[in-house]
Amino acid sequence: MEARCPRCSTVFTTDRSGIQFCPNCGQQVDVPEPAARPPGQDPWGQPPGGAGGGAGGGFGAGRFTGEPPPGGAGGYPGGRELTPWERRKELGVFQGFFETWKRSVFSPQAFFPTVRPDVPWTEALYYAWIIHGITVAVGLPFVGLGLFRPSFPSSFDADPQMENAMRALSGGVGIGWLLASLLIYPLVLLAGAGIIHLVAMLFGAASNGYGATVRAMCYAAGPNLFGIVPCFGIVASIYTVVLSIFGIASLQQTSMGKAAGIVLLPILLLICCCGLLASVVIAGLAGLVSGMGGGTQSL
Amino acid sequence: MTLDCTPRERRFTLLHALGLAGVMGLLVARFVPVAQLPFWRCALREHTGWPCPGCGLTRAAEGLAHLRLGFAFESNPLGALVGCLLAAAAVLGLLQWVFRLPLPVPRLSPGEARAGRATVVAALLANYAFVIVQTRLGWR
Repeated sequence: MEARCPRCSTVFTTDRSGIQFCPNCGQQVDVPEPAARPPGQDPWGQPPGGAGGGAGGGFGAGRFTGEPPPGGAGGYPGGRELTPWERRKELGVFQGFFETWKRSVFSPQAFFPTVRPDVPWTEALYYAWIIHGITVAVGLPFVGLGLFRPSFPSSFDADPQMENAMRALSGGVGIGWLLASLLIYPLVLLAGAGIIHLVAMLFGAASNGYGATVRAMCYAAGPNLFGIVPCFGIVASIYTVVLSIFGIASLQQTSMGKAAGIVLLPILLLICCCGLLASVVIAGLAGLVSGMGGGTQSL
Repeated sequence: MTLDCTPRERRFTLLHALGLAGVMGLLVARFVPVAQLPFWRCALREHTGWPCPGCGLTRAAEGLAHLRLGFAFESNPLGALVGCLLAAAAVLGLLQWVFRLPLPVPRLSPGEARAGRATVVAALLANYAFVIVQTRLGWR
């Protein structure tokens, strides 16, 4: 039987089904049983001749057109399909974005198991980038007017260094930082996904490649929109972590326990190292519970 | 273990992502005085006196960024080693991207993968032991 590698599109001949490696690029390929294949489709549910873009992405792989991505618009083993965002050509950009956001945030248990791991990650990156862009656009007036005040413990205010840092985060400098974050956001996201994927490899849960990890992190970015609501930034961050766990578990086809370990281990290391997140979490929760967070804006 | 070669193409892979992480981390360590921030401290060590496994990572990164390798490896040996590997990933990733180099990708058998994971865990434990001895016995 013939099988197509979802990463490099090489069609190779094999005499058995199941997990095996592409002879060209080494990508792990799950070749389904021949009987389960619908007529007219290749082993990956793609129309004949459909180029497999591969989960590895590549900056040229995704185009902001809404065209079905190189991974093909057809079905995928396990009932997976393109997200509404990846079908924005037929649904419309706004509808595709909103549907994806709504489903990922409000019904992640139903959404993430349907996300395909083999579609180029650039599609998902555009989605996460737009979410960050909206957050920045809404946050700009607050920062410009000097209303931005991160949820740090009040004791930090007495420190001259912190006072200077807080001052630097408001006004023109703060606006500059926010606009710069628009440019570096994809780089930070890709680097962060690299760290997460490295931990996933240590856990033995990286079977679908780096692209699947990037897609999981991008589609988990939905709650960041709530960060524009005062006091909700910390809640949004925690929910983003929860969605990342759902995403990794589904797209790397591993257990929730392993996925939790993969996502939480780097975060725990960060908390241990600097106490920064611990301080922010404690301060944020304290402000949330006591209702004293008026005038705060977490971005 | 078998070695497969990646195709000759520009594709952003894990190697590039780790290289990117390394470059960003070293740039921050080079130009931002992170250790001087008032909230940049180990919560575990502050409250219990015992260091966490990541204690010394900031100093290791600063040492690497300022090319003080001895200081970096004294501060956190595994962290310094990982920092060096990330820097190497950045160089290799850049060369691969520019020249479309095919790179060898090792494929491990399940047994080899288990052994690799056990080695990583052992390295983490040994590094933590080193950090504990350094801080508890007053080396640092």
